[in-house]
Amino acid sequence: MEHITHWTERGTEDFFYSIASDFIDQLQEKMEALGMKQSQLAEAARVSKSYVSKVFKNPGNLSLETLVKFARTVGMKVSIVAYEDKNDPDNTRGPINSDIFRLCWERAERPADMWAIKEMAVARTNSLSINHRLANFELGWQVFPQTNTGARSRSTNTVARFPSNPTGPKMITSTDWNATQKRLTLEV
Amino acid sequence: MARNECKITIKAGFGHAHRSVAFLQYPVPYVDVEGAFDSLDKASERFHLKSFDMWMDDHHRPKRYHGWNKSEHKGEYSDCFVFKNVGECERLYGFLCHPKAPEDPNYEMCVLVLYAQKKKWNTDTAELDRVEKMRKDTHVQAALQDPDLFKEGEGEHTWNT
Repeated sequence: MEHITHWTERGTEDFFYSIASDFIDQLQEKMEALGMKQSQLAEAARVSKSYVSKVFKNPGNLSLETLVKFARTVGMKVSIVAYEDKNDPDNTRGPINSDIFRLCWERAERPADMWAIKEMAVARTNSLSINHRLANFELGWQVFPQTNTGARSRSTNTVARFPSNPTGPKMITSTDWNATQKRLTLEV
Repeated sequence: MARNECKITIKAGFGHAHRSVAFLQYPVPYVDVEGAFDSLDKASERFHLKSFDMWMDDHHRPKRYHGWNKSEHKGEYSDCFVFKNVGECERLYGFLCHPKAPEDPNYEMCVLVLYAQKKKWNTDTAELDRVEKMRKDTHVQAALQDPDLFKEGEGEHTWNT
């Protein structure tokens, strides 16, 4: 039976070539930024020029030790990331390019440990709560704009108090929520 | 010319949502990309396959591949494209097209036409002229509209398992 899949599925060597090639691309980019030549990398990493040339031409020859050595030479670190690609369990598209992982990490403000991840999660929750509170306030202001029960504009920088509502609290529908969110974004 | 003498086969990106790379077969000597690719050594083959992946996934790698914009060569080659292996002085020339238009006008295919060993830095327009000739060829245009083009089982991405 024939099965359509990616070239990195032919064997481990192909898969390794692909991920090592991502590393060499990142390394070359950094070397260019530093104005570093292959010969300088070889000297700094204490390997021969021919070896550097060889692995740049065929990253499949890289060893993990050399990979770390090269990365440290240009001031970079290396992490090995194993992941479950639930969108592509049969590997029809090959490995995710390491640049994707790097960019996601950079955009998440480079968390260094699990503490940072937790802090990010807490900050996100707090920010949502504030938004919810603001949305509730906005809705209250719309529903009872003429009542003089203490709710004041946010621009006065005072704590908002909800007007009393004899019919009970108003449930926020998704339409209300989206509309309020949009308005808040525009105001900000 | 018999229709089956002009054939476009998807080499990479079968099933990719945005892009794919295909090889052109055509009975003229300079359309040699498929044969040349098959005779590449393992390292070169992998280099190009990796470049195909990067292009399909929209990574910016001008050292591996690029096109020519409208300000270059009076815009004559703005549909041409090249995959390069600078270390081995290899070039795979082709053209970009949108074979799923109008249903999916953004879907892009790079149809590779010819292989060249190149040691000069500047572009040899003779190769691009040949690519352009193929791009405009009516048989090639018809092959791009062939409903079998995206049929499962075509292309080198079929391995026996």
